[in-house]
Amino acid sequence: MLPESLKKEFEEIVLLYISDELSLTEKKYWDDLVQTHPELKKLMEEYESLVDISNELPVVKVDNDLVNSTLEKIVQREERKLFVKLKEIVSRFEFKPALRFAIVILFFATGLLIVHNSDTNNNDEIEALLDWEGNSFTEKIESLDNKIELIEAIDKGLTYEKPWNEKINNIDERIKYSSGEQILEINQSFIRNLSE
Amino acid sequence: MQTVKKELFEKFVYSHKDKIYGYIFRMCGNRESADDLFQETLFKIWNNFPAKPETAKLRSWCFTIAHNTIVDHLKSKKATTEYDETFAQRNTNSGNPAEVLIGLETSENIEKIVKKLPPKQKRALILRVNGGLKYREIAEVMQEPLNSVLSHINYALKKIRKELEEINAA
Repeated sequence: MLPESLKKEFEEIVLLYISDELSLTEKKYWDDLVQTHPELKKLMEEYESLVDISNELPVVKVDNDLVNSTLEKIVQREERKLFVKLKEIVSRFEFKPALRFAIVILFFATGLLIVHNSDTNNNDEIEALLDWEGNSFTEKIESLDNKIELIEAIDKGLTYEKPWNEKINNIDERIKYSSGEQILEINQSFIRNLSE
Repeated sequence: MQTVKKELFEKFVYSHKDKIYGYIFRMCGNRESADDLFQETLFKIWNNFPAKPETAKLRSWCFTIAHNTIVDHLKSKKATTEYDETFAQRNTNSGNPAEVLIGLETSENIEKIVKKLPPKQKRALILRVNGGLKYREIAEVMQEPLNSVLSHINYALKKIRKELEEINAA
């Protein structure tokens, strides 16, 4: 039987354990403790059922129309804020009504242009993403493969000129086509070996 | 920048709408006020929504805003908290009619017990069950130490069990 003061402390640890809020070390320590103390195991089971009971509390769902209308209102408020700001700026200057009207029109036209451009940019980005996941996926993989080969070649101390040894058999030509110093050295030593 | 903020905000709202609404509904007690307070909360969240939100902090921050909105409402209107019990949806997953009835009865009883809990216990429990917050997040929202939050939840759970046992025994 657990002493009452200790029990309360353990109950709180159990709550954290069930909610998966203990660190890995704490969790491991607690698991070991539960293995050796059956009363703690009982306490764990008791609290699991208590948490299950509390989850019986009915779910409350919000009407989607309310969410959508609220989001619309937020957009409208933002637009209104912008308009009020513009009105303030215009009213600071003593423009003739026609000029005021022209400024307002110009402002909205610029705004529309910005919104349109940002949408186009977003669409381009989305298309690029889709492209990556869809049509040109093989192309991207091939390009990555080439990069990996290049890195591997550099690791081996070779300069990347993949087709050089496949296409050109002439040693002098190889030297000409290989741009890395190491290749040059290798080939020169190869020539030296041949001449010896 | 504003478009990105709007997209992030909408994404956040759609993934947390029921949790925020559930918390507001249970704290204020009726649907009409809950609708108004939910709207007000979303306006406040939008006005201060960070450009680069951290999800972990964002959730507790939003529930704090929701709670402050409820408190302001209760202070200004001296609102009555008549509870609209018919609105909450019962958790009746079982297909067995007898089990459904028992489930309905149990959840109705739990609803009544939760309604009568002391404010802090009720708030912590609702943040946990309806809001789906971790205990550490609840501690942030309630601005109380973790131990106190665990204690509130512990007492609330024990009270629910005790009262359910009494109801079943009667």
